[in-house]
Amino acid sequence: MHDESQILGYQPGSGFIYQLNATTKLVFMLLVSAACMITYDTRFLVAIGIFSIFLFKEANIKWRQISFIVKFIVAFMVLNLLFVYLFQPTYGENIYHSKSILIHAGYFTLTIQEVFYLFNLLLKYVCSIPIVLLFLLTTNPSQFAASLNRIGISYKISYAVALALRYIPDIQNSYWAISAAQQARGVELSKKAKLSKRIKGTLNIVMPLIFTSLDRIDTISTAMQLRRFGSKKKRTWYVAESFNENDFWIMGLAVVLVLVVVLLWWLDHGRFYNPFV
Amino acid sequence: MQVNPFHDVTATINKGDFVSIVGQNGAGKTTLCRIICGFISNEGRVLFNGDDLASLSIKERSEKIGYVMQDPNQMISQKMIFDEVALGLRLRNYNKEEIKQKVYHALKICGLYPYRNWPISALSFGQKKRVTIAAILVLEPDLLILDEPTAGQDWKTYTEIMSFLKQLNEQGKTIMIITHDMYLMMEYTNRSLAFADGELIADTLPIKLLTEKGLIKKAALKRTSLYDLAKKYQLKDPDAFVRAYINSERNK
Amino acid sequence: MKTRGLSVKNVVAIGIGSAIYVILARFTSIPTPIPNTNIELVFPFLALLAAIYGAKVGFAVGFIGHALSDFIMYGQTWWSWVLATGIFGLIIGLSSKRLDLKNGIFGIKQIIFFNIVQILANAIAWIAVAPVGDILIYSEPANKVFVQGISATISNGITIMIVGTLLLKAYAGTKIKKGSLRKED
Repeated sequence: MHDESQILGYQPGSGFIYQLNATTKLVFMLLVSAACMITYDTRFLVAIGIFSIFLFKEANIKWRQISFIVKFIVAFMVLNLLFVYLFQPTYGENIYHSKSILIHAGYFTLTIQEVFYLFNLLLKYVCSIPIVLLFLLTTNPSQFAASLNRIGISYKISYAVALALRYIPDIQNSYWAISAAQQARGVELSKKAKLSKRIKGTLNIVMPLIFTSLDRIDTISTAMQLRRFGSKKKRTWYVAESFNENDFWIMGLAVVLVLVVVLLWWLDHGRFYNPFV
Repeated sequence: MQVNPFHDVTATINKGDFVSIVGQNGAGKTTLCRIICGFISNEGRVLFNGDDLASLSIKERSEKIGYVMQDPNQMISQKMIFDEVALGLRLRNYNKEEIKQKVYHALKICGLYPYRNWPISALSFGQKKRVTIAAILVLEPDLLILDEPTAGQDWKTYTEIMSFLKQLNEQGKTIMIITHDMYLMMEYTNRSLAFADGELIADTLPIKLLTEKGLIKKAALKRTSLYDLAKKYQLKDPDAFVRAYINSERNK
Repeated sequence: MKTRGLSVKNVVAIGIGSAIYVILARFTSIPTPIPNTNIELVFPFLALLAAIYGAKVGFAVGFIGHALSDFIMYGQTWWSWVLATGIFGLIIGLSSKRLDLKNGIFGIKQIIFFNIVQILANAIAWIAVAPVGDILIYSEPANKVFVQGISATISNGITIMIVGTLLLKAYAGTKIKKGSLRKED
C-alpha cells in the first residue's frame, strides 16, 4: 500500500522562493544550517526559529505534502531528546556551571539547566528543518545538482547527485513492484510475522532490487559514454540559471548570519549562551 | 503516477474469457490489476466467484489470481530456475515430492524442462519471462493476469507465448492481458476493455475498438494500417475488410 | 577516450548506488526486539557496492546516500554519521583490490578476508569517527555517543556478516563460467 504523494520531492510552484536561483537556496541553507549547528546562543536560535517558520509559511506549502515527513521528524526528534536526557541528565549543569533542581529523581534528577539544554536542541531542529524542507520542495533536482557544481564541487560528483535524485523515484517504484510480487507469492512482511521470516522476506525483495538496479549502472554508463560524458574538464549545464538582485541579497543575508554567530561566540565566551551565571 | 484516479468502473469477467485490457499509459490498466490483486486499496467491491475479495490478504488472493509483471527481473528472487518456480509452493508448505512434480509440470508447459537445473542468470529475457509465468502457473490460479507478456520479444517467442496462453485458455483458464499490441488484441482475445483517464470507456469486441471512430480517439488507439489501406482503396466497408483479414489470420 | 578522475561507470555507480541507498534506508529497516536497534540492510549493500567499484565509489555512495536519505527522511543531515558511513564505504572499497568479485571468485578465503575488513571498517566508522564527530560538531554527551557507536558496530557487523556475505556470494555467482551448463532431456 503506498501513496504517491508521500515521495518528498520537488513540486513546481510560484512565489519568491521558487524564483530564487538554486545555488542561492543551497548556499543559504548550508550557511544557516551550519550557523545554527555551531551556536548554542538561545537568543539567536529563537530569532532564526521564528524567521524559519515565517519563511515556510510564505511559501504556501500544503500540509498534505509534508504531513508524513513532519510526523516522522517530530517522532525522531522527541526520541533523540529523550535519549540525550537519559544518557546524561547532568550534561546541562556541566555546560552551564550551575544547578537548579526541578524534579528529584536520583540519577535522573531533572535540572532547569538540563531543560534549557534540551530546549536549545529543540530550537536547532525548529531552525533548520523548515529551511531544509523548503529547499527540498522548491528546488528542481537538476538545478540542485547544477548548483553544487557552481559552489565548486566537481561536475562529475554533481552529476552523480543529479542521477541519484533522478532515479530515486524509479527505484522506489521497483521496490514496490517487487514487494507486491513477493507478497503475492506468499512472502511474509507484516509486523505479525516472526523476525526471521521478516528478514528472509525482506531479503527476497532486496536481492532482486539490488541486482536489477546494479544492471542499470551498466546501461546508463554506456549511454553516457556514447554521449562523451566525462571527456572534458568542465561542463555546461542545460538548466543553469543566472543570478539576479534577490539572489545576492539572500546570500548576503546568509553570510551576515554566519558573522553574527561568530560575534556571538566572542560575546558569549564560547558556544553557549549562559543565562544562569 | 495516477493522474486521474480510477472511477466508475464496472465489469464482469466470465470464466474462460480471454480479455485484453488496453489504453494509454496512465489510463488505469495497471491500477486495475493492482486493485484486483490487492496491492492497493480501493473503494468499491471486487468479487471473485461471488466472494468479496476484500477479506483476503494478498497471499490468499494470489492463490486464485496470478499476476505476471511486465519486468521479469522484478519478480525473480532466487538463483536457480527450480527454486524460483518452487518458491510459492514452498512458502505454502507443500511436501518435496509434490513440489517436484508440480514444478516439472509447469516447466514442461512453459518449454523450460531441459533447463530445469540451470541458474536463472543464464537465461534470455524471453526465457526469464516464461520462468515467471511458470512460477505463477504452478500455484494453479483460476485467473491469470499478464502485463505486456510479449513486450520486447522476437516473433518466434511472441507466438510461442501467445499460443501457449491460448492453449491454457482453451483448457479453461481465464486470462487477462494488458497490452498495447493491437494485433495481439484482435488475433487472440475475444473481449477488450478500454481505459482512458481512469474510466472504462469500452467493453466490447476487439474489432469494434479499432473501427469505431469515437472509441479510437478516446482510447488513443491507433487505427490499424489495414483500415487505412481499405480507406485508401476506397473500399465500401473498411470494417468488414479488417474483420475479414483478421479472421483469415486467426483461422490459419 | 581518455577520462580524467572518475570514470563514467564510477559516476553512474555513485548516482545509482546513492539512489539505492536511499530506498533501502527508507524501506528496509527491520526493527528488532532490542530498543532503538534496527537491522539496516543499507550497509551490506554499501559493502557490496564498495567491493565491486572500489574506494572512491564506496566513500561517495556512503556519504551522498546517507546525506540524501537523512535529508529526505528526517529533514536534516547528521553530518558526523554521514561522514562515518562514507569512511566505512571507503575502507571496504580499499579492500576491493584484494577481492576478485568481477570474475566470480568468492570462496572461503575471500569470505574471511571480507568479514575481517568489514568489522574493522565498522569499528573505525562507528566507534571512532561518528562519536568524535558528534562531540566536536554537535556537543553531544560522550557516553551517549560511544554507546550508540558500539551498538551500531555490533548490529551492523552481524548484519553484514550474514547478509553482506550472502550478497557478495550471489553477485559472484552471477558471473557464469564458460561452458559449465548443458541442456538436459
